[in-house]
Amino acid sequence: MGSLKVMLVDDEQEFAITLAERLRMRGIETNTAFDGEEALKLIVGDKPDVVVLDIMMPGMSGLQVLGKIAEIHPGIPVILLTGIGSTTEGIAGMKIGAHDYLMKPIQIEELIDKIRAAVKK
Amino acid sequence: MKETLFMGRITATVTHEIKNVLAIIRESGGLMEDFLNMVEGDNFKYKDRFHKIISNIEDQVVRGDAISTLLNRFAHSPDADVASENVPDLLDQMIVLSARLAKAKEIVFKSDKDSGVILISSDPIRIRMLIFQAMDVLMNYCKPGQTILVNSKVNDSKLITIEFSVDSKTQVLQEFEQIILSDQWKDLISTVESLDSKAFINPENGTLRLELRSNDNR
Repeated sequence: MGSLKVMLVDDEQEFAITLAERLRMRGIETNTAFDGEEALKLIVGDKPDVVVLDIMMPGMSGLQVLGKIAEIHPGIPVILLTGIGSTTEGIAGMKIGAHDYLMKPIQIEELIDKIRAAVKK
Repeated sequence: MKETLFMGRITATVTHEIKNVLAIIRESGGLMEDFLNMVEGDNFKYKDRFHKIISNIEDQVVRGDAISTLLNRFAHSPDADVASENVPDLLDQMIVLSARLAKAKEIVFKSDKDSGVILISSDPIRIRMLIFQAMDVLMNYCKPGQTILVNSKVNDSKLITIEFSVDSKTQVLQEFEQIILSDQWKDLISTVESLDSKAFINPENGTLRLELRSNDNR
């Protein structure tokens, strides 16, 4: 588990920073980006094993970022985060290539399970 | 209709923001707990109290998450003129979203958890308004401390019944007789008739019953 590398992309900076710290405490190397453009720049030079990506962000939406990630590094599993009280957006993301989705507020154990499952795929 | 859509869209957007707030609170509480778990033995005398506080924070996140999820669904109700929805889910939605009003009146609504799936095709706003109007009239005419059981069922003719029944029926007779004369009841009847359905009040056994026809069964 120590070798796992995750990119966490969310414009809610407090959420991303805190969650990243908790993931690191559990042995998962985690980088953060606070918008889609920043995430794509980081991903080009440092390929993560899994991307955890918020759907609703200013600028590029999560679904747009998802498409770009697939162009840069085809095959990287992406787990979408949605704060919307329905599964519609998450399912839409899976139709265009996301591995899975989670609804905020997430449970960290569930996220880690999904990260592990995504890497095994 | 545009106005309703506007209200719904803004409310749905805010529920999304509330989810983000709850996510930050949960992760912050979780991080505190992570650090607390790193304290060995009795090196921190408030350890148990902190665990309890963090547990309270998590309980409130769960509570807020449930409310904002139901409020989001409520806010999306104007999105379609007609929708097929599960009646027990609608009842739970309206009971949770009206909990503060019921608490102020010291009334408790309890839904039957064993109703199964009962689908109704109807106007999503009117059906919610009807359920709320029934709850509202009961909140005004029942006594503080009373519990109202809410159950739903469907018969062979696909007639859907929602029944609100007061637990301590000996006290309700007089109050229930007054309901029929109230403006609230007239408003409820107006709504129920717009759904091509019926409403009944029975003072003798303390029940308010809605008989609903699904749009696909008229």
